[in-house]
Amino acid sequence: MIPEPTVIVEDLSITYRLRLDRSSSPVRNLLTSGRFRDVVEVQALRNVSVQFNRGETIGIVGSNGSGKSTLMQAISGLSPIDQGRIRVSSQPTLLGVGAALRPALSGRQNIEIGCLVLGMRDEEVAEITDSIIDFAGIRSAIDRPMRTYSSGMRARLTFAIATSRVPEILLLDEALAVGDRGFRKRSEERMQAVRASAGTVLLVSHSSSVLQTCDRILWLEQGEVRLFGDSGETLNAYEDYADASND
Amino acid sequence: MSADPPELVDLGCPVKLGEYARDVWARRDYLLTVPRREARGRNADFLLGQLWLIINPALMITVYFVVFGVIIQSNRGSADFLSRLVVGVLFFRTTQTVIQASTSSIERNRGLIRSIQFPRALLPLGIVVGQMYSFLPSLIVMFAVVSFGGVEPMWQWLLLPAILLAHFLLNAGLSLVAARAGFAFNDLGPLLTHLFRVLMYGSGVIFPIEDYIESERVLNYLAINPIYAIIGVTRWVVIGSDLRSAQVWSMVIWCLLVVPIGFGLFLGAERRYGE
Repeated sequence: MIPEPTVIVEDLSITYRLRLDRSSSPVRNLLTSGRFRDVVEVQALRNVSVQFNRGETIGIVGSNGSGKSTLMQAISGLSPIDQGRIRVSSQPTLLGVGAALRPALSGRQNIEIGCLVLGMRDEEVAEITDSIIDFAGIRSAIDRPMRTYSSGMRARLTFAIATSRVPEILLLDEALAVGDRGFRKRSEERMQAVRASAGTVLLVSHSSSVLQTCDRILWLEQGEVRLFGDSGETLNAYEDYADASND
Repeated sequence: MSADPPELVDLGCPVKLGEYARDVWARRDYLLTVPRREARGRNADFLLGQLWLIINPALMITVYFVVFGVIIQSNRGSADFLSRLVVGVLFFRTTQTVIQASTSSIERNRGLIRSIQFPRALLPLGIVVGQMYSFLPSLIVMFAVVSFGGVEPMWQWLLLPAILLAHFLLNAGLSLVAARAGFAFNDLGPLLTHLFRVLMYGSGVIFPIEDYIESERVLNYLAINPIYAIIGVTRWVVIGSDLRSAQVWSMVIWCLLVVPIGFGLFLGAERRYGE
């Protein structure tokens, strides 16, 4: 069977321009039309070309600052691309919906806000609310303001809202590290659902047990693809590397 | 790579205006619900709750009337002055609030922009809709003041929905322009405060411009100012004041053009708002 791609990344490079300091002189700022004095360029990704296919779960590993999160951001379409091209079969879902939620409002109102900002209609929200509450396992707290929630409850609610419509491309950044055993199991089921509906899951994780369940693993180091292939092999190579650099 | 399945979407390509408008339309339920919740939430903790939606404009009009009508120019403390004032102040203040809040709408929501994909135009447009929820109750105050001033119901009152639509379109288009401009130039916010002070006199909000300027030509040029135009038309609709045709034309042209222009400008930076 020819693999059918959901995400194609071609020759992607992303450079962050970090602005250290604006000049304290307004005259100077005006003359340089507000440009910053010291700009440090950090190449977060260089010439990355990868393809992810339907029905795959891909683990992404790498040291801190290797470009894992930048790649996820770029695939979600949230950060501008300097060079290269990313094509996707549909809008990827990142668990970013948490940013839209309001601590002062109740869990139920936040479900409504979260679903609406994700593009649902009112009827759809009404239909889906109960299953979100059950999935997050917070029925008893649902009418309390969200600021009274524990961080685990918040994370569960966010995950439940973000994945309430089974997405075609799901991007998870360490998401499974949150929540108790029961919730972790439900999250894994939801990932299975994405895979079963011929979607793609991209998973940034540091946990070997989670990574072993992936179909393939992408190893990034200093913004470049070090290795991309069979999960067992790649994981071993990465762990050897990580152990060696820690010694 | 030419054999790729055709259904893949390029994340880097510019967004097309038509698709964008459809995307915004698809999220109309967000626009109708979330700003309303926010507007309600602001008054929820007050003892008088949502009554503030009426008290606020009533107090504002009282202060303006006392300062400008009674203290400064006591001869103008007439019912007609008060009626003109209430229309002018309510419409002007709404547009001013929308524009000023929109200039910082991208900056204030950077976290949201970096976390979720949605048409960014929802941010300024949400401000416009939210402002509607506090503006509509203030119309009760407006009609109360106007009736108190002795204005009898007129056939023009039937045109009020059209005026509200025009005002909404104007605010929507200007909010998109303001959001884009505020993104490009951070210092716009403080500058606007002063611009609006000038604009308030230039729009005849308190004192009629016609009292100071006699030249018909100059007055017609001044009607290019959309706020002056819409306030003039609204005063004709609500209290039957004199109207110049330049104001009607200006309002119609602005309403037809400002939303597409606003979208076009705003869209130019759509993928850069998260920077």
